[in-house]
Amino acid sequence: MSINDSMNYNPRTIFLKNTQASKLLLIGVAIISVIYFIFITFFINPSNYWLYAILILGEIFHLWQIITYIITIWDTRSNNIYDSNFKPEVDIFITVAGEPIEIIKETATAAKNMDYLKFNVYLLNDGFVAQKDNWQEVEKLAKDLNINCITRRIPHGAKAGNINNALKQTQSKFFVVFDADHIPSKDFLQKTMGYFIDDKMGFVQTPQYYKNHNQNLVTEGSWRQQELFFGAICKGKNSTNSVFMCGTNMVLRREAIQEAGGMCETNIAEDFLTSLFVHSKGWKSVYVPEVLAEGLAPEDFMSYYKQQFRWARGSLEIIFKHNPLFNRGLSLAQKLQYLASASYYLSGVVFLLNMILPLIFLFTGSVPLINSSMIIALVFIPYIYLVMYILQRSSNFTYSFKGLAFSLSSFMIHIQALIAVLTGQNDGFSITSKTQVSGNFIHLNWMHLTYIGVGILGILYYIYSAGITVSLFANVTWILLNIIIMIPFIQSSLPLKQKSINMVDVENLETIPVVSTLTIDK
Amino acid sequence: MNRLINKPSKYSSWNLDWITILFFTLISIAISIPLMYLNSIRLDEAQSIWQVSHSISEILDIVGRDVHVPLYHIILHFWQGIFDNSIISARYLSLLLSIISIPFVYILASKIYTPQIALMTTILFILSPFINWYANEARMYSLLLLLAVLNSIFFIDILKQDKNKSWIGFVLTAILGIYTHYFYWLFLLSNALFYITNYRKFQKNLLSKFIISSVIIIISILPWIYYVISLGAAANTKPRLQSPTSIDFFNIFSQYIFGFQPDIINSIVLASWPVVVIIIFTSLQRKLHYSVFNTFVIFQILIPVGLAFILSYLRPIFLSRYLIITSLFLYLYIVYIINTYFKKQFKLLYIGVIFIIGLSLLLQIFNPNTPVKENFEDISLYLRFKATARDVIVLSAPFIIYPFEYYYQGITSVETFPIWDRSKVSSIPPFDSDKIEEQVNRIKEGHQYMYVILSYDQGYEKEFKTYLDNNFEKVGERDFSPDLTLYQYKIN
Repeated sequence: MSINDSMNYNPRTIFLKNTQASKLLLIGVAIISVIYFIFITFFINPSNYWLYAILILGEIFHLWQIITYIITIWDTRSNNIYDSNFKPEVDIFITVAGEPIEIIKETATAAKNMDYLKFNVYLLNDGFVAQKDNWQEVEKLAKDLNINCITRRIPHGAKAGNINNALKQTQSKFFVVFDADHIPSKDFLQKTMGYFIDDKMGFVQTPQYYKNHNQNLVTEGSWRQQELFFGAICKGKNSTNSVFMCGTNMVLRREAIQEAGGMCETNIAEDFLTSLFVHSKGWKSVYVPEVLAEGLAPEDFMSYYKQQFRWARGSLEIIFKHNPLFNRGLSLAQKLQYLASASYYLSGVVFLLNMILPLIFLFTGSVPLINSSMIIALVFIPYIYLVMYILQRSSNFTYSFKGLAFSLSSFMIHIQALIAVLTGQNDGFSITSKTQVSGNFIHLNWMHLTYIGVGILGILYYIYSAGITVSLFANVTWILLNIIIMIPFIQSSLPLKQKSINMVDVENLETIPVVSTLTIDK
Repeated sequence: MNRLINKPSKYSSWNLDWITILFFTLISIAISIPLMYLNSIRLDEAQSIWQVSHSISEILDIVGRDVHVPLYHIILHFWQGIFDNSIISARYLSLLLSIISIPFVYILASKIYTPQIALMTTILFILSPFINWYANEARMYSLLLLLAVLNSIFFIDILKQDKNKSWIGFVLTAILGIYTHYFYWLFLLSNALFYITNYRKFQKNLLSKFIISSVIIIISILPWIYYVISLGAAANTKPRLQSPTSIDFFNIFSQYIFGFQPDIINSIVLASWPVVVIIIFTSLQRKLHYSVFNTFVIFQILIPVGLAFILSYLRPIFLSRYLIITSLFLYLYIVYIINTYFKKQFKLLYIGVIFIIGLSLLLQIFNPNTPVKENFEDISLYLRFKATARDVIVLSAPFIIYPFEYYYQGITSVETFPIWDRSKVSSIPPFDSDKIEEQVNRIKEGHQYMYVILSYDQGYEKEFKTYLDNNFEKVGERDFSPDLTLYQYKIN
């Protein structure tokens, strides 16, 4: 019962095991969450109605998140049909857009060496349209490795366009998509193709594992967030047939994609929206909870920031432009799952509103509720403890403070994405850097630093105007909690220890003259 | 099953652990012994001394009516037979039981977690202001704690290895425990709930053995229950408790960590409850093995307190000392959290916790406003020289006569309000608003000054004092300790 023993720790498998939480526990958490919500909403008198409204809106959102999470992880076991003897021909697409040639070579070589009966490897070379210097090197690499290369000359639809272009020039009924930095294992096809024995199986998704997750604070924080998603959440989505594509490490049925109108080129998160269209046509999907390819996390804060922005904007666009609730082809469970995943990115607004409540108290003395803080504590502490516990339990105790801190501290990214969606801003899409970009990105966290500064000022102002009171301690503790949550995020934006510095062009690719270029990975 | 058994730890400084524990134990003793002599007797202690001064059959009768169980009183009766019937000798018994607990706390914590966590927990236990307080009090709480620790050791041994001697120890300590305090049942219930909710993780044959053990334990208490029922009405000689509030709920945990502190410190501690949220968030760390005994610890922290809190709405019984066992498991869990989740910062955090606990202990000892201090010694001494044979001393609530008369050797007559003739009735008569005047007139007759000691408000203190203020001239007032005030009235 050694609790600190790390001898048997395997980061590739730990987050995928033991994700099935007790149903009794899940029901208990759902009940206590509802009780907490009812208690806060109906049994405590409002003080300032504006602040009360802010608080209750936040609580509605939290309740939505908790209930949908519980529904998602209710059953994390998969019962899809699988036949290991089903081995049709497959095309392997490795999407490339200027990544370092060594990275592409490693992925292509691994793809070529996969154990499978018949498959064709293609480098989908977008280096030319993305104006990358190494596009010709990619062609040469394909020749050297004796694999195919499809170089686009006319840019359109970024990664989705690249894949659609390849689909026009290839034949196989099935195709695999790997990002240039995602190295497949030898048994990737053996472990995935068998699911297509089901004629209605549209696509198979596998985890997007970051092998560099221990490289620095950014890669670590990034992976901590991913673990929960690719662990309990994706496994849970299996039971409602609502696993969506994650852009890489996936196998797709050509017919399903074609029926859905090809890979969607109009959304920044093309994989998410394409999945929605595929599901609405009645196709199925499955998540294989086994790491069958290893990729790279964004290695610097700027890349992380841009990646998160893309995901947030793409997901929020789905709510506002392709709301799954109004999609008749989806089942109720699928609608709920799509909405739950997309609405996650609204959490930034809620977190910011919650954060400013103690600041408002310090400057104005206004609070949302009239009541003994201890009565709230009596309900809130077991509620928050149990919610955190099921997050840990369902992630096989891999979910950590760092993951939570990165998720919550990304609030400004989510808010910027929301503003971009609501105002229709045309932000350029950029590639997630595969190598570390050096620099100090603290300016991206201006809001976090402002919060700390205003918090300190607020404390001083309150002491000056009202003296040291018991209420001061309560509100200072809330501010302290918010600051503690921000610390790992702020740390990550400071210059990181350099391991390999290759400046990657992360300029706004909108400058490319013909249409825009789109995201390369998710 | 093997995974439940501790592997030999790399932490091999077993002897060093014991030396460290001995060192802190000596510090604790060095603090406790002077305190035993310096602190005045308190109400509960005075009742213990009075109760055990009777014969065994009388003790059973008194304790039975006093909503307690008799084991501690019987032990104290014989202890005082060997030594003397002073409060000091009674406190030595509690101190001894508390010191005996220390190595068993270490053993228990080692069995649940690791020797390192065990050592850290034991030091916390030794320095805990809450534990220290009851290690110096002539009540059953240190015995209760010792029996719970022993029972937990046997319980965990059973779950790990199912040995006969563990079963014997388990049943024996359970029986002794339920004869020490009724709240021991909550502890046993938590054990049972833990086992029921986790029984699949242990050997299958344990279930039948636990059922048989439970039957034996329940049968063993039946004679006492029969005896108590046969006594009829319970004696009303105890302070009346209020139904607990949410503040009381958190106050219990605050007391376990910080001991008994003045209201202002308590308010700050309670207002800072979001610290718990910080701990919950920051303790979200990757964990490789989730020990089932972690659940055992959590059960022992939350279930007894939660049940007592809920039951208190039927009958108020929510007192931190009744749930003293919880404090140990709380320390264990705090150390576990520090040690497991904050690997990089654990030394710093632990030193911080020890510093806060140590500071709280010192504050509790040296602050005269520590709320649980009852200075009956000084008030008795004061009145011995101040009051004359023409005066009368009135004690309200009536049961404070126990600690008062322990010290008081003056010539002034002593009465209680409401008037309670202990030679005729064992129960304190209920307060009757209409009888204030009549009773006060009876008390004041033939006296010049009335010295009124008010403590342990039973709901009528304000009314009684208002009556005195309105009808007599108040000539003096003095606080001797929190909630122990003397008023002097000129009555004739």
